[in-house]
Amino acid sequence: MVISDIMLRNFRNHVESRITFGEGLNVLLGDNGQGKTNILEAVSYLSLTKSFYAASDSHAVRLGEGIFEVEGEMVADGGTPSTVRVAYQKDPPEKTFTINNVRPDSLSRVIGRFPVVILSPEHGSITSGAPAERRRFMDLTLSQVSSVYLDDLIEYRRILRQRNRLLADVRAGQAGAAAPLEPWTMNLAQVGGRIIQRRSRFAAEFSSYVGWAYSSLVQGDEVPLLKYLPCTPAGPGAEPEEIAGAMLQQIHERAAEERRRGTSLVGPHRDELQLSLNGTSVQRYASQGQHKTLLVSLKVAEFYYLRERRNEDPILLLDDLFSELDAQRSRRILAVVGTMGQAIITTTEETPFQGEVHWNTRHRRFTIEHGTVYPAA
Amino acid sequence: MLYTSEALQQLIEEFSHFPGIGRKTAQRLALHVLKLPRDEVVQMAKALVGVKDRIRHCTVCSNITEQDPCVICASPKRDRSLVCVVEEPNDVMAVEKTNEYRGLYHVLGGALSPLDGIGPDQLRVRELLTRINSDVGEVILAMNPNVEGEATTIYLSRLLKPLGVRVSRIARGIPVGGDLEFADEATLTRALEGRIAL
Ligand SMILES: Nc1ncnc2c1ncn2[C@@H]1O[C@H](COP(=O)(O)OP(=O)(O)OP(=O)(O)O)[C@@H](O)[C@H]1O
Ligand SMILES: [Mg+2]
Ligand SMILES: [Zn+2]
Repeated sequence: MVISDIMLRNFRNHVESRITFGEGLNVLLGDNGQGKTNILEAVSYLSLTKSFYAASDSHAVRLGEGIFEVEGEMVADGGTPSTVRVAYQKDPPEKTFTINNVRPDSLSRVIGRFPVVILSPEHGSITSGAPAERRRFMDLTLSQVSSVYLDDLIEYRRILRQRNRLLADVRAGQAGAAAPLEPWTMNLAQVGGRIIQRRSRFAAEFSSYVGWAYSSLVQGDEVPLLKYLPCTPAGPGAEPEEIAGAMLQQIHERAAEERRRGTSLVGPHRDELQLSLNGTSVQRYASQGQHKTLLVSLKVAEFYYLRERRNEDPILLLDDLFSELDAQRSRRILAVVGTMGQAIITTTEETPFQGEVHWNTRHRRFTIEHGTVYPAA
Repeated sequence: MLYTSEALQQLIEEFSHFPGIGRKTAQRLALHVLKLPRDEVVQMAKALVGVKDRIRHCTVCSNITEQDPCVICASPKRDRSLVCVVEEPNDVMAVEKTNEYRGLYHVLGGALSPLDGIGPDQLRVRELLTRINSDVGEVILAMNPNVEGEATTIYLSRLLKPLGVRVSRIARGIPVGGDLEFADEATLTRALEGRIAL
């Protein structure tokens, strides 16, 4: 998949910007706060139907305006083009998403159709932050591979909200003694079992991709490892029903605690994806450079993982790719990225590219200034 | 935009309360009413009041009806050993359209949803349980295929089974996230045929 053209209208600080991308490296150069990341966010809208960081749609509308529009031309690896358009109107709130002028049945059916891999400083917390960040990474990757997984995830979140409300009501004494918790528990375990099984398989497969990616970025003998730690220990070959059974048992053991705390304590929403380098926890002990390198490895791994499962190259959106990296590692990463697919890279510094990339129709450079895009001189 | 007529303004206000009707559509509808002949408008107003005055809930199945019991409950041709439990009256219409089902119905009035403050007491669950007697051989649970429908199915099957009645549910042939009301007839028929014992 490549994005050949994009148009942003009243999107963030862009009044009207048009860019024709090359099929290789596309560099968006500019000082801080000029509107580079905003362009990646616009591509994210076309692919994931929303911003890649948790921003609300209304914030993306240019201040003083009522509607933003983003339109892009996506070309599949087989050559089939699609015109994708997103418009968001603030008042009354309305989002329109079309592919070749047709509205998809649901926005969740779009995820994975135009696969992307996004690296952003907002994602730095994948390696350093709370377990929720790593679950989000797993979920976004798996959602782009399987719409069944995404459906399960959406269902699970709904069940969890319903069950947590009931538990909170019970704690507040607002639900009768007959409040039926059991149906929600069974529901939670059923869908939870499927999610845990899918994630276990993902972690087992994905770990080797990360190991390979890491070794292509750094010389040395550091070996990264991913380990999925679900709330209910289940063997790698466990069936969803088995996992659901184990979940049910644990929920029953912790029933009193759940009622006291008024929230669900067992399920894939509490799981951890552990990252280690040579056996030591990355989250606790890694240096900033190691964090960044591991983050880039996760993204390189995600690219190949998606490519193999979707038979389609994801578009790489690399925000502030070189921050926290020394010159040598930056060059190495650039060399690896250069062999992958189409990449859109934002940077304040052109140095890492100098002497490494020849600008032509495949590799292009743009300067961003106050929300306006210029072909770089 | 503010209209100079208060009457028009009020009509727009009323229309905009309808589900799926935004401000703009409400304006268009109101202006359309303004252009209609007076007779037609009177007719429409009568129809609106009529649904409120003439329609009530069947005391047996809780479906909306003008006579009590409703035509389905009163019909000698229906199979009284079968009761199909649905969430809303429009689900009855959806199943009826298949022309395959010959049993009776029970309209719950919704599904379990703590987020909306809906528990068993807000649904016609007790009424369902009192209907289960020796004449009823099977209860088919045909809730919407979403998490609320699923929880309601689990809840009801646990209440019904001890009563010695066969309990089944329609197969999940309906696309996930879709509502029963929107499922096409072929899908619904298949779902009814492929019902699973609980
Ligand atoms: N809704 C909006 N309307 C107008 N301007 C906005 C809106 N949202 C954000 N901006 C502006 O966009 C700019 C930030 O753009 P962006 O995040 O793309 O910068 P950047 O070029 O990536 O900078 P950096 O190098 O610091 O990451 C800021 O100047 C901000 O004020
Ligand atoms: Mg930025
Ligand atoms: Zn009736």
